[in-house]
Amino acid sequence: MAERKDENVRELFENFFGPKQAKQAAEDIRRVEQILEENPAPEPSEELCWQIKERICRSLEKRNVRRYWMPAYRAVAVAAVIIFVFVVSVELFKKPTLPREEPRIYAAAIPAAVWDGSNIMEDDAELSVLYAEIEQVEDDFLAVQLDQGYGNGKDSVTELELELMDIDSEFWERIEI
Amino acid sequence: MDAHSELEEIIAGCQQGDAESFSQLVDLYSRRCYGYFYRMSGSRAVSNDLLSELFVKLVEKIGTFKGDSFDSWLFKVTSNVFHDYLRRKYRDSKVIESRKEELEERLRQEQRQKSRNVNEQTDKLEEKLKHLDEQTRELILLRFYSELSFKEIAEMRGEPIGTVMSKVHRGVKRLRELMG
Repeated sequence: MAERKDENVRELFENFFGPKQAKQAAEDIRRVEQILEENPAPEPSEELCWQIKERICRSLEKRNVRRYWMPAYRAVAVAAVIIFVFVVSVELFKKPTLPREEPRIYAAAIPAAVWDGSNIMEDDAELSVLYAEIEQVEDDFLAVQLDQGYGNGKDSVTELELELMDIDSEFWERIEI
Repeated sequence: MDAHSELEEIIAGCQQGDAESFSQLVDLYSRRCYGYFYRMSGSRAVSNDLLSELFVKLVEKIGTFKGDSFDSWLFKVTSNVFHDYLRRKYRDSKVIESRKEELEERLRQEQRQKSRNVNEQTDKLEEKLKHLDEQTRELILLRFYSELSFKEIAEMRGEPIGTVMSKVHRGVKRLRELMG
């Protein structure tokens, strides 16, 4: 605004136009400014000015509230960052602990199906053979007792005993294998 | 205390959030800023809204004023407020197109109401200013209402002083012709 008072419009125009044109331009500006002064724009009403002042007061109050809480928000944010950095650094620089023991897996010597299953014959072929032979012996034993199909009872008992011994030895042989 | 140091004191008060200083600022500048808005928009209602918007914006922006020419800074904000309004108006006009008939009827009613209102009478100058292109009109009005020098206006708008003077020269010549 201070510059405006010292401003020589005609001289300024002379930098860009000829002296005659510059004189005319300066005169045009002076005349237009005179027209603007003669036709003043309406002024803001007093009521409007009061409303504006009231709005300014409300804005200032809001701004002050924000200013009051801003340090608190900043402190919370800084604290959160510090805690985060602390937690991360503790995790990073923590002493290495002994490696955890790997969980051991124990395998059963006897298939689980044998323990879990109710039908032994299906689970183990050896046992089924043994079971069949025992049945055979039982039948033979019963036949001896009833004296059926066998001429000499004493020989039959001896045969049966021999058969039992065979079964016994054969069974243990199989188990050892 | 001279006017310049008084203004400096008011600005310092505003920057500290003093309501009384803002009140003084309103008293000092509302008339000139209102004149600029009115001559640019041709509407009292728009000028009322824009003046309110300007001063509320100043509450937020006053901290960014670094102590050069306050008038230059203030009228830069004033000009930005007006251009924001123009952009909003342009966006709204697109919406209006879709509701044209309904709104045209409302506009006719408002205009009838307006013509009855004595305060809304348009003057000859307002009518003639509409014949100038927007940039030239703004330069002439900025020069008159901001009371800035051509050099300051050129700096404010980021244009070479020669361009500003050339536009103003054409504008005032045309306006003189129109005004007779």
